[in-house]
Amino acid sequence: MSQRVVRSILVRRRHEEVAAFVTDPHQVLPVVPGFARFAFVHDAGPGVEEWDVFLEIGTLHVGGRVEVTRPSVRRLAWESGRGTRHRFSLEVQPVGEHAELTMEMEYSLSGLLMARVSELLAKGIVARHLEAGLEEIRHHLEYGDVVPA
Amino acid sequence: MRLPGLPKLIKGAPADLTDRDPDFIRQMLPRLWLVGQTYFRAEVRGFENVPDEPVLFVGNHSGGAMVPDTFVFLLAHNTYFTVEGRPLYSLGHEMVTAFPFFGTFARKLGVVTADPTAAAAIFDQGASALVYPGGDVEALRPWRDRHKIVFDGRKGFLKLAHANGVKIVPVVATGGQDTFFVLNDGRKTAKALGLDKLLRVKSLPISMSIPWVLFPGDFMHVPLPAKIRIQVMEPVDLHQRFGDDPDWDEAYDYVTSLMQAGLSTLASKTVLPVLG
Repeated sequence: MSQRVVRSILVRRRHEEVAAFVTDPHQVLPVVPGFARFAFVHDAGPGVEEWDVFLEIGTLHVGGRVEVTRPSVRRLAWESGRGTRHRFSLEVQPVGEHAELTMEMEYSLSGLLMARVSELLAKGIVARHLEAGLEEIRHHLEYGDVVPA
Repeated sequence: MRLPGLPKLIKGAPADLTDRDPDFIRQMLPRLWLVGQTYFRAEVRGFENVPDEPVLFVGNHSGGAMVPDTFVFLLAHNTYFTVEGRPLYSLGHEMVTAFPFFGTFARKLGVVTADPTAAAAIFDQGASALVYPGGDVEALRPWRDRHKIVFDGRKGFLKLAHANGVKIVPVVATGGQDTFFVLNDGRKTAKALGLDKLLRVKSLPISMSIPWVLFPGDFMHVPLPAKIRIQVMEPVDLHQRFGDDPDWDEAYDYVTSLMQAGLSTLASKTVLPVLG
């Protein structure tokens, strides 16, 4: 069983500009506060990069070694290879002159009853992290600032 | 039928900076610490961002009538900068400063009726000021919007800081809106009842709190022991960023955007609502 969390935000910039930024992990990861630990590992083939990415949640570091791909010019995605089982994506859709940015995370924890309970409790935490990430990206693209974590 | 005292309540106590009582504040600090530390498990971070000069702290207002995060901030500021080292005044709603008993308590802690002349006097004497632009609208925002900045388009705080040549220091807080639960917006109700013109109150939502269970608006209640977190952010110099003749809409959009990003980041530390 797994849990899926989706959050979206409107960014008042042209969608091409937003897409160019969010589909580059070298640019977007430093701006998202929850991703306290990230490092490029190596190129793993055409259009595929391996990264170590961790979301810091209090005493837990949720994440691991991931394969990052760009399925389209408007989408960044990764899937875990080791660590917490999860998938993540950032996608940009044009909305008039601006852009809607959507973050999605799907994760699953090992175990039975307690794991299910933990997964459900974690949904709120993950949602708040996605919202924070979206707000930080939005503010950075609209004003150029990076708000310290 | 005349309601005795109502005109005075509406008008508010005149802004008098001498009402702030440092000895009273020092007496209150241990009590505030006990409640802040044990009941609200409060954390306040970021005072190292505050420059050594008078500033205008701009916060997001929460907690309805009880405003627990305001008291936590007062406690933290008065201990970090000391009671006399950098005095802090809070610009408050006229209903707060004139309220029987509580108004006297608030004025002794440094709450003054929000007024441009009073604010200028505060900065002239080398003190800092705290303001909540969102006011009652934000303090009574629905629980679903607890992590949203709701300043309701009010730009007076920008003009105040700019006119007085002081920097704005944004202060974001979480937890205050978990101490009671506001079920709806209530703006249409307030307008229909004429409260916005009569009392300068713009919303009348329905709230759930102890002991009232359900109550229109809010009244003094027992706040739930929600964990309160406060982050003092880096200052914003309006003159440097927007010049001597700012576009106030642009300045408002920038400051609220910055605070929203900060608030959302702070909110991401929450594990479970209320519990922390």
